[in-house]
Amino acid sequence: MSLELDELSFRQRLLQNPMTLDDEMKRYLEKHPEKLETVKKIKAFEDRLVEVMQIEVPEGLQDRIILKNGFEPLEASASTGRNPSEMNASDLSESAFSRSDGWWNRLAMFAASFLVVLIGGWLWFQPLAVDPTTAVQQEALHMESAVVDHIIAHAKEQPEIMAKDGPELTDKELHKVFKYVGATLNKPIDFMSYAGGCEVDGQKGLHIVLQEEEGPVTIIVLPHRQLGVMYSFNQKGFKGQIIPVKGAVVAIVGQTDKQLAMAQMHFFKSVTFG
Amino acid sequence: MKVKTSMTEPGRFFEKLVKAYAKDLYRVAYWLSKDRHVAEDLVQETFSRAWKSIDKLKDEHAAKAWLMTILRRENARRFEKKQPEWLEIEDALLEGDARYQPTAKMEQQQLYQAMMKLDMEFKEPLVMQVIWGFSGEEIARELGLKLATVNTRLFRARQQLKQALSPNDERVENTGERS
Repeated sequence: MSLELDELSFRQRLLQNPMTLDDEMKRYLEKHPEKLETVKKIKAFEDRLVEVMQIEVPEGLQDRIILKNGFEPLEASASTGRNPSEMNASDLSESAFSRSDGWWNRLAMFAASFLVVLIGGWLWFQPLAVDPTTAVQQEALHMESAVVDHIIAHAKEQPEIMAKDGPELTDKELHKVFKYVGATLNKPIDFMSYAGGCEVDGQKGLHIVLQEEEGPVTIIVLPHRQLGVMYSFNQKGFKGQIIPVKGAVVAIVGQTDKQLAMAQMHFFKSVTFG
Repeated sequence: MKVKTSMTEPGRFFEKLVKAYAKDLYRVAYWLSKDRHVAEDLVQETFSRAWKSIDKLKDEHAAKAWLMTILRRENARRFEKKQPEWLEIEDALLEGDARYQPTAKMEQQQLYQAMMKLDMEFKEPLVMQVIWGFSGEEIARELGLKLATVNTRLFRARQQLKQALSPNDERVENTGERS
């Protein structure tokens, strides 16, 4: 039979784990019901502690992790510590992600779900082909043409901004242009080589270039424009997405789906809207 | 949260691990590093390493301890090239989050700051218990300490936080065992 707890031991155990009362503690409480008040107070304190510790997690964190590792093949024999001869043929011939059906489709799905999280529920995807006459689609088509024309014009007139060592803005100028479009630059955008103001379709916006692995990607942010849906396009050799965010739209334009996915991840990891 | 293991499809299993643990792992990383960007980098690195060795993993319960071990190792690496530490303020507390009324907000801010200032030897087991859901035994195993030492640290962690909020509260002297 165990010894009865004294007050000090009871309080110590309570502070070690306030959410779990063991049998000895319960017996102590039966004998000392006045201590229930102490238990209540310490549990209330614990609730506050839990609340403080549950800090907000960045939007899209899970999708970014999955996205990032989707491009990294499994280093089968080196990482597992197993002898390659012990592995199945499939272990050695394919990465684990590619073993599951259609990894690229899954990647696109993750990217899309990240965006859904990003715009807080007032974005949903629907194929534009369903009804080509809606106002939303016309607006999307208009934006697509304006953005693509703008990028082509830039490529002709200012090819240097697509280069890796494009003209640089100071930190102050950088924050100013982001602020102008209602965005906050929380930390430097990975692989960003250029950022500056621009004018698209008669409207001032933000023009960014990211040097992704397969080549430069242009991101244009147009404030005060809205689009009810996320829109993808393929025009004049460019692949692009127009993504509605709080108070603006973000157009991401490159050459390949992988470029777009990576640029999207790098941009939204550092920039928030609203 | 339970994760159903399917080792025949590491990609899917990895995805489930991320969905189940990334958020809490980020919170643990945040309290250990005191910096949001460092926390995200730590979590990304942890999962990258986990992904590269996913075939080693046998079951869900092992995954939880495994991720924590990788995270702590990655965090320790940061100190090989020592950087100055910054104290962040929780945005929700600064920006008038609806959860916090003025008085409650002030108390939560105090508690937040007290957590930030808590010594790592006390904060680490506390975070593992409260956020990660580890038992005393699991914390002891992870930290390579005796259970009695872990219990003492958990007790002292909470005691210090309470003291920071109410300095005049009665103090219970620690008589816990030491390893």
